[in-house]
Amino acid sequence: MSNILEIKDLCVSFASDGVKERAMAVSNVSLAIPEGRTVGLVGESGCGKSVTSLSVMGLLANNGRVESGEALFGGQDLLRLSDREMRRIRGNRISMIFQEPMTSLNPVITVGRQVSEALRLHSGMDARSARARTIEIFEKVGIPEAERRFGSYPHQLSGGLRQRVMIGMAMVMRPALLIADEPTTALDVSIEAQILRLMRDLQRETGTSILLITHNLGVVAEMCDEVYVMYAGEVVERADVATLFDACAHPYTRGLMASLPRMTPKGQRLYNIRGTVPNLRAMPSGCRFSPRCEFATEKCRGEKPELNDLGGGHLCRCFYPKDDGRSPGGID
Amino acid sequence: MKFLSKDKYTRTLSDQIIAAEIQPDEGVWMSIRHMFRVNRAALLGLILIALIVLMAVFAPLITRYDPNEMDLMSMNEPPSAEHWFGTDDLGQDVFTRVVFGGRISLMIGFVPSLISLVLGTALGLMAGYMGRHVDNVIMRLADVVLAFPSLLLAMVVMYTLGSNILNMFIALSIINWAGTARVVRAQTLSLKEKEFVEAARSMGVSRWTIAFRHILPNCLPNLIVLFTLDIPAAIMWESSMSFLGVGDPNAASWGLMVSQGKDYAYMCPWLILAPGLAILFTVMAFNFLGDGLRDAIDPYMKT
Repeated sequence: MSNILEIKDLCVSFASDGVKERAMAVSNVSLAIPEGRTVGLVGESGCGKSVTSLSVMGLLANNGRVESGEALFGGQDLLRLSDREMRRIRGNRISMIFQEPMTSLNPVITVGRQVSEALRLHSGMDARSARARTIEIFEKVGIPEAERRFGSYPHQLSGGLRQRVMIGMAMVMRPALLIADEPTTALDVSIEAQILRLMRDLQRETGTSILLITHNLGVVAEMCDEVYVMYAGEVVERADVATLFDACAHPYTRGLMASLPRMTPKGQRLYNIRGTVPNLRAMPSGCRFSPRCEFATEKCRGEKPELNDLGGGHLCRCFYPKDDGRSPGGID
Repeated sequence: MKFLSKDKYTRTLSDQIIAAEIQPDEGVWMSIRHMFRVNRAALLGLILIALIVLMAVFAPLITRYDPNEMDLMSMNEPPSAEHWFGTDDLGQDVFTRVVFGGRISLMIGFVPSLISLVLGTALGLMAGYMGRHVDNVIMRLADVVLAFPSLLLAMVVMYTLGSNILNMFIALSIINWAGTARVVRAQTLSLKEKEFVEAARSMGVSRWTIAFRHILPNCLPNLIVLFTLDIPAAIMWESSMSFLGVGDPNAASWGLMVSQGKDYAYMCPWLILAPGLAILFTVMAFNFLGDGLRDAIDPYMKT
């Protein structure tokens, strides 16, 4: 199966006022998204998930810069394209949905117009057929009374409906790749299930690949075929979803798994990974996770582990992948 | 089997949830309509403005005199059935001159406000959106304008360019644009960080389309308020300048009438009362309306 997007050794840095050294937000991230599959990108806040996707889209903030690497999409390196060429791809071949459906729509333009204008921008349709197509896509994403909702303003719709509009807008050009940046984080659980089902249905119909950025492992289990786990700007583990949930190898991933709430006797405390994500300007030497790792040794603190293949494409950046039989916090 | 399948059941349930989620229609315009029902002062302002505008437009139909027609047989006459607001030192009918003066004063309210609105919006949008040097140049220029006492600056412009109504427009636009530019710049700065701007970019919308189609319309409610409050300010500035003698001596605005009447104010108070009250009511009406609009629009700008 061929890959729709291949990111190779991506490095992204950020400048901030008054500091000379640039902070490396993403270092040497490689990631491949196979055609028609859903790939999850998991990690704590600030570990570089969104930065990775934004740099692929050419949407980094002004103080961000891609230092090196490439992002191959249909034979083109997205990181080398001009702004003009990139605009033709955005919303057309690759589109994005964002975390906050409340604020991702322009409050003073009707939702119908926002979608139909995106459509016209890329397809050159006239206003009437764009309108008809928009209503069609509204129906497809499950917006009731689509015709009437065409003229609604975003504030007249609930969060779930707005996210449906966003998905409709993102899918209207049948993109080859959909980047969903925490698409359900702001929604309540029942709506989340609906939205995820909608995304899966649309994917089945259009064959779109999805890059799903999330910190919710439940969503990953539900949606993804493959998962990349990021920590402090690096990929620390890559596995297909079954392997990840059955036999994740990296202590960080295992910590994430262990911190999922589950049915336990009353009074038992929820596991959490101690410490916080390291400062991007003061990365620990050796393994970046070592200061927080329960199993870290001298070797971990001094030497940097590579991303090793544990077999079957299961990659792990650890000297001691799950070899001690223990799990973090003593919970299994 | 009469049972609904589980999937079918959840589907109909979720459809109901979705249907219940749709909120009743309401928007900025509904909120403004509601404001007029509650805020009587704003409604009064709106009605007064409508009356004043109608009066200015249909001036020749309202009065049987000509504003410049002199009747030397009846000079400085007090108000009477013949001359509602009396006559001035040249025997001109004061009511007629107030009605026709409304044309000048309203024009002086509208035109410079419109010019400074367009200019201030364009410059503020550019400054906020492009940032860096453009922002610095435009905003320092605005600072210079705002640092000057407005009246003094406008008077200097009038002196330099000459006292006519066109230069009055220019002078008032020069003192007014900077405030608008500041407001628009501030809003642009906050709007361009919004997610919907990023979402638009992720859809491949170009930079300037985003500025004009996504950012500018979001400034519009504030601009409407700014515009309604700029009008009375401009009328006041012009009145002050005409009173001080730097206005257009041929444009018989209300301010000029007050200025010309002040010499006879003790003996013939109607000469300054009539145009003075006209200024008072007009400025008040616009301020009431502007305040009401601001109250109605503000909650929308916060969410």
